[in-house]
Amino acid sequence: MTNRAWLFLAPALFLVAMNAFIPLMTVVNYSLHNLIPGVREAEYVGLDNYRDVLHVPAEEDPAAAPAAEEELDPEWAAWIAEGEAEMAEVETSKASEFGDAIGRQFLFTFLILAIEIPLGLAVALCLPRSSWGTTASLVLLGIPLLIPWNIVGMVWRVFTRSDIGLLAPVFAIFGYEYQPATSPVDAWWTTVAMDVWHWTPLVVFLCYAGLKTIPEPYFRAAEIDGASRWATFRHVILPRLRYVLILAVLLRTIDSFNIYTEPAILTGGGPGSTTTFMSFFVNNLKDSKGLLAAVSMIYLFIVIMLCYVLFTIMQNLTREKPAL
Amino acid sequence: MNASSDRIALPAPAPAHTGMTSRLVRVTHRAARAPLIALGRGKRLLVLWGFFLFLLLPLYWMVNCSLKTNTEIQDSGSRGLVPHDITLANYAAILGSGDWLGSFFNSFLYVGLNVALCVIAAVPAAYAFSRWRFRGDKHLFFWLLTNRMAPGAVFMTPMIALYSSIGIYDTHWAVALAHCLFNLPLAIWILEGFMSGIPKELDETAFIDGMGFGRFFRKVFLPLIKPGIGVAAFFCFLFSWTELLLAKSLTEEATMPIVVKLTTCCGAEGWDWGVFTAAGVLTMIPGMLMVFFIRNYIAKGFAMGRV
Repeated sequence: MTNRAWLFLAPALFLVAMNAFIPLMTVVNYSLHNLIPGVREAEYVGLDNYRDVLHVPAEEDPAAAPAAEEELDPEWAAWIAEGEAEMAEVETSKASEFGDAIGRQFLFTFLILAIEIPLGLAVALCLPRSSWGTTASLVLLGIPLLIPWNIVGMVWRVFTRSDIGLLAPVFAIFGYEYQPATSPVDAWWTTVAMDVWHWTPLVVFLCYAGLKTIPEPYFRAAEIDGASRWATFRHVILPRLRYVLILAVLLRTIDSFNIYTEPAILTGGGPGSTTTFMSFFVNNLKDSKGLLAAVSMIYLFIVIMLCYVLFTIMQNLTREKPAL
Repeated sequence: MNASSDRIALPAPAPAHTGMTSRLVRVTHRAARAPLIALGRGKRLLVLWGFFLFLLLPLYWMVNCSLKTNTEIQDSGSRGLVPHDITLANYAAILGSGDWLGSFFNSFLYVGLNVALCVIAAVPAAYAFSRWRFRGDKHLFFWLLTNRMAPGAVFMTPMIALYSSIGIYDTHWAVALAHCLFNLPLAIWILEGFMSGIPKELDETAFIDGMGFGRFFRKVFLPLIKPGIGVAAFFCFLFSWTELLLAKSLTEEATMPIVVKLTTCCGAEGWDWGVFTAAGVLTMIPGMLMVFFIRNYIAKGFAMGRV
């Protein structure tokens, strides 16, 4: 059977090799080289790119450096030193920007999880009981999920721009000057609101799928015991929804770490770099491939670690309760 | 009927005549569902309608803008909820322009190629995962999942280099292949879920009856997993249609897809908001048409078939 299995897997493995394996190895290779655009020969620099990104000072090479300087005339040496200082400055700023981007990313993910999971659960519990009402609600809820992500960015851009949007005049009535293009606070909560708009329906769908699996007798039993609404929710509904909720957290965490399209169109990472999340930051590094690759590897590592932790929790839950 | 009378009704023995039974069953059924709701009816409706308002308002605003003229859109004095005089000129501008239609065509072409590639490769792979145990199958399955989760930005630069070196950069094939990165694992996971729902005994019976594998696969198995193939194809379509980063970095002028075209449609006289929003509305339509048919599978598709 094994041979037949691999034969069946061959086309899929070929495609994955083309798209995941070879590019991944190329990224590893890039991350160990100093690649300057326009220069053909790539210089092997070991882990220097990672040091730059993580802000670890490079090890000094005391033997090589002074010997080289003696041969150069002082003007050249000064010029080179200046260039090196400039490069170091750029690298330092890149490193601190990378730290900022990671920080922003975690804050963003935390915020959207804190809003989307409870809100999605609440909406799922509030879905109407009649069958046509449920169908209509599910169709409405499905719309944000099925429109292209760049259009999500566009819809929100048109909605929130201060010159043509609806939000600015509405806020003006309440005396609040809404300026997403210049105010980082406005840009931030607009981005969060957009993500809530886009992805809360997914949490609703997952919770709804979970709710449907709770057998009716559970509720009857709770009612006979005279359980309050809150107790029913806490002890009957919530334990049965653990699996779908952790799945929702997994999907939302990973997808929010990969978020690129929507903020790229809504805010373009701005104002300044206040809404520049990880994907956007990586994309901005296009000019120095070595650094880009090193940042990518660290980024990928974070994503896969998160994925692994959440996936393991999910697997353990399924093993405890194989009902789902 | 209030809850206390239902509680009395429940343990009562079933009456002899059927009409009474069905009424009782209906009553207890309704009573059993009631505690599912953590809030009162009024509050529930408030939450639901509040959320729907939040959902629909931005969408409505975009459709509203697409039916206005540019001067009306940018007129700060009258930012009306309803267009003064409805114009279809923006839509006409798109449908009459080779540029716009070309980019729509580009998108459909690579999306179609991608869906075909993914489904053709995923059906046998999913069959292997669902029917046979082989060395490393679990690890391979998880590794495929991590590809779905991997950020596109990481793979962008090497993909450009790889596709340039084999001469398919800036073609529809490049984008179609690149999107297999996340669509192929998705298709395999969804199809595996559907196939595992079909008992293995079916295969075995068919083989015992002397059916050849190819014939069994085409005549018996494929028709059974048709809905699965439909769902997988739909989600491949969706994610390929919506992806921007890889599509943007792997194409140039000739093969520019609609998603990229939308990000670059800033004319000489500034943003042409009317055309911009009209194009956005047109891009939304394929997904919105599908919502009704796909509503019961949405959770499955986004959760990689794990619900």
